[in-house]
Parts: sequence; structure tokens; C-alpha cells
Amino acid sequence: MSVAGDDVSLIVPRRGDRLVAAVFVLPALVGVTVFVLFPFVSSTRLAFFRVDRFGHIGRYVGWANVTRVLRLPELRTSLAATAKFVLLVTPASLVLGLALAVAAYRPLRGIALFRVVFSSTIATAGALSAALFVVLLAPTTGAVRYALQSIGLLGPNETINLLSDNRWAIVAVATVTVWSGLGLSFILFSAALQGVPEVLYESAALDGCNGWTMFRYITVPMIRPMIGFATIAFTLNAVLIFGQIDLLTKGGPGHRTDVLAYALYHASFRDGDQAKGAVYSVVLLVVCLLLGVIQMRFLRRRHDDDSL
Amino acid sequence: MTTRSDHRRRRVGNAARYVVLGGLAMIMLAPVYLNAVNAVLPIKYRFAYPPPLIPHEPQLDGFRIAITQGSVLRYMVNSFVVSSLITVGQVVTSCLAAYAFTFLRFPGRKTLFWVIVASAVVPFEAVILGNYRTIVWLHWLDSYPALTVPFLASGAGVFLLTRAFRLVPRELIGAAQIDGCGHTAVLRNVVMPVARPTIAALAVLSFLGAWSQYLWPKLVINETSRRTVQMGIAQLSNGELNSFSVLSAGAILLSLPLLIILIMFQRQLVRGLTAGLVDR
Repeated sequence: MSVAGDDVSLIVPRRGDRLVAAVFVLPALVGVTVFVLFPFVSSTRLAFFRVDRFGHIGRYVGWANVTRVLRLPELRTSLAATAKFVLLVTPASLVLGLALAVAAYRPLRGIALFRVVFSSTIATAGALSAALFVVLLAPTTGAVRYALQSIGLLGPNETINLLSDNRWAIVAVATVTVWSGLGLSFILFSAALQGVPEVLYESAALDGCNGWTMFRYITVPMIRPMIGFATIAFTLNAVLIFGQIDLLTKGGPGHRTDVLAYALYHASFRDGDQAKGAVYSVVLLVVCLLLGVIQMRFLRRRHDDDSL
Repeated sequence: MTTRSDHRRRRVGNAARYVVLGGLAMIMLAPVYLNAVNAVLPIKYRFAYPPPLIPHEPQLDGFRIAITQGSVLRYMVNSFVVSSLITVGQVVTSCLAAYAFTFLRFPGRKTLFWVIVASAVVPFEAVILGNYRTIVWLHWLDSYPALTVPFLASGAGVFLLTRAFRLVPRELIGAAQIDGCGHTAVLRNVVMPVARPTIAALAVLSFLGAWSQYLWPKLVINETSRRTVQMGIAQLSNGELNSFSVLSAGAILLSLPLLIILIMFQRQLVRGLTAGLVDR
């Protein structure tokens, strides 16, 4: 299918169409040129120059910055932390959101209330969710400490600070992120489930299919486009995670949660090393592009290309 | 034919569903509830352990301080204005461009379309350094334009709307043109109403995206009076007001605007996303 088709024949061509087209395209074109394409060029360029703390560009240094940064062990740590974070967040967000949507699918008295509750974490977008968990994760007075003690994972006098624990810090931040993403995941999958024609379930029921079979062979194929959209959206969100990290761990302990976006920010605006920040920017872009390509391959429906 | 045992089975089934849904709802609400209790906890119970499930001697100091000294209302207004401007900007620029790409013939149509759409795959964080330098160069630090102008156009928006616009029946447009409508009128009276679900979905996603922005405002805004919700919560958690109950109260207050919008538009939201995002 082509985006615009070449069948513009039903539009009566008029004199002045070109002028109208120019005026219509211009705002979007100027916007993406000035704030996406130009800054991409200008920040990539920084990678090849000496840049002082104030951002003044000095002399050309070739690939020196690039090789310096690519050899840094902390870059590998950041990549690993980002990958781990994505793997912890994306599948859980999708599966749990879909499960909630299935649970709230069929009508029931009062179901509207449950739907609002299940969507509600969308209101804690970004750093708000992290703020809510700061209190729960408090080492001595937090509900998480109490919960761990109740199930015997923690001794009665032990305190626990998950956010400064080498192993658990990233899991804690991921859990917060999954919780705050559940609302959107639930809404997206609820919307997708509404789009599945009821008749399919009715005829499957007549054929004696059970719930799981229907889910597997009707629901999942029918909501596949939404699964694709949600996978891409949640993966990108997880790759670009920043707010929760800044509020909860600031990249620590020992770079364990120093994900790419956070390292980029730290290099560019804290350490005043914009050349390093520029290399991180390119790495981040390459990661996003690779993920995009991989997901397109996996999720693409047949007969569905979007060429113009 | 329904028999009595059918009725009973359904009632038992419904009861089971209520138990499951209720349990899930409690898990989802637990963090908010515990914070609500914490927000009304008097200072003398600050170190109470285990954390109380029911507030003793509740008082509203946390909320009062969050509002008076923490300026959370100001942050809400700022976020609302900024997110609304970004949403309107993205919808308008995307509608105009998508209309031209779908219905008008002009030189460079394909190239320009791909230039704009390609920009959608570039995450803002990857160009944040360049944008920061632009804002510094424009002397826009600490201003509302810094928060809004970089986001008024959206490659993803153009892509989404172009896919929706091409499904608008050409006959409708031809008829409107014969009735004497110019392109602006066709866009407003024919194309936009038909593509409304997709436009609504775009608006929802733009608004949410704008509302959750954290890093960019943190970089370009310093002045308290121009801070947004996300920066406000960061400020509260950095302990400038140094109290968990203020942090809890602030987080709850700052979550309210989106919650109210959600409750008001729940049904339209689901319907808009169904029709707008993936179906065609």
C-alpha cells in the first residue's frame, strides 16, 4: 500500500496547489530540520573537535575523541545497564498490561471503576512514580523493608537500601518503571481488545475452543499490530530512561544504573565533556536504530510496506 | 434457555472475577495509598515502623507545605500550558503536512516526506546536546519557548496522519471541492473529521510525552516560576523541604491533573486509540 498513492486524480488540480503545498509542509519541515536534523549534525560534529568546559569548539582532533570514548569501560557498563533495564521492563510491562486488559475485558457491574484504577498509573508518568517509591524504599521506615521482613527475606533488625545495592538497584528502578507504565500498557491493550470482533469468539466457542485456545489463536493474532506498537514504544522508553534514574539512584551504585541517557547527560552537562557527550549521543542513536530495525523485522505484517 | 444452575454459576463466576480484579486493583493502588497515609502523618510519627496502614491523627501539613512552599500549583499550570501548546502545535503542523503529502502533487514530495519521517527515528536525547547549544545561542534559557518550540513539529505525527489521511474517500474531497472548498476548508471540514480518531490518538500521545519530559526542562529551566511538574517533583525529592510527608503529598498532588483528565476522557481515549493507532 502506498502512503499517498499516485492516484490524486479525484482531487481537482488547481493553480496555486504548489504554493499551498509549500505553505502546508513548511512548518513541519522547519521544525524537524531545526530541532532534529541540524542538532544531530551539530552534536555529531562536536565528537571530532576539542571542546572546552563552556562548550567552545577548539581544534579538529579527528577520531581521537571517538576512540577514547569507545575504549572506556564505563561505556560498556552503560550499554549493559541499558540492555538489562530494557529486558527487565519491556516484557513485564507488556505481559502485565495485557493480563490486566484481559481481566477487565468482559462487562461486569462496576467494571468502569476497575478500568480507571488499572489505567491510573499513567498519571504518575515519569519521575512522579519514582517519588512515590522513594518513601516505600526508605531503608529503615519503608514498606518494602517491612514486606521483605514479613516474608522472611530480611532479619527483624536488618535494614535494606535496595537503591544502593549492587545487584538490586536496577531491579528496583525497573520495578518502579514497570508499575508506572502499566496504566498505558493497560489502555493500549484494552483498546486493541475492543477491536476484536465478538463473533470470532462466539464461533470459536461453538467449535468448543477453551479460553486459552481463543486467546492464543484469536486474540493474539488480532491484536498483533498493537503488540508491535507497544513493544516499540515501551522498548524506546526503557532505552531512554532518565527521570527515574535521576531521582532514585543517580546512576549508582558504581555505575550499575548508569544507563546511556544518564551517562550522556552526565558527560555533557556535569563533567563538561561535550565531545564525550557527542559520542554517547551517536551510540544512543545507533542503539535506537538497531532496535527499530530488529523490531520492524520481527513485527512486520506481510503485505504491509509503507512506501510513499 | 437459562436454568437456575446457570444463574448460580454465573454469580459464582462474577464473585471470582471481583476477587481477582479487587486484588489486582489493590496491588496497583498500594504505592499511592501508602504515600497518601504518609502524606497525612504528623511529624512525630516520622520514624514509625512498621509503616502505618491507617493514618493516626491525620493532618494536612504535608499538603499545605507542598502547595505554599513547594509551589506545586504553579508547576501544574506550567506543565498544562506547555503540554497543551506542544499538543496543538504537533497536531496542526502534522495535519497540514500530511494533507499536502496525501492530496497534493508537488516537486520533491517523496524526498521531503522521507526527510520528515526519518526524523521520527531520532530520539530527542540523541540530539539534546545540539539542541541545548541552539537554545543557548538563541538566548532562550529559562524561557517558555525553550520548553515548547523544539517540539512543535513531529515526524511521527506526520507519518501517523499520512497513513490515516490516505483512507479518506477521495470522492468526499472531490465533492467538497466542487462545492467550492479550498484546501484549508477541505482539510478542516472533510479530512480532519474523518481522521478524528487518529488525530485524537496523536494528541493523547503528544500530551503524555510532553507531560513526562524530565531531562530537557531540567537542562533549560532554572527559574522556579517556570518549572514543570517533573522538575517540581525532583525538587521536592531533593529534600529542599526535607520531609517525606511533603514529598508524598507533592507526588500525589502532581499526579492529579493527569488522573482527572484520564477519568474524564477514559472512554474516548480507548475508542480513539482503537480506531486511530493501529487499525486501518
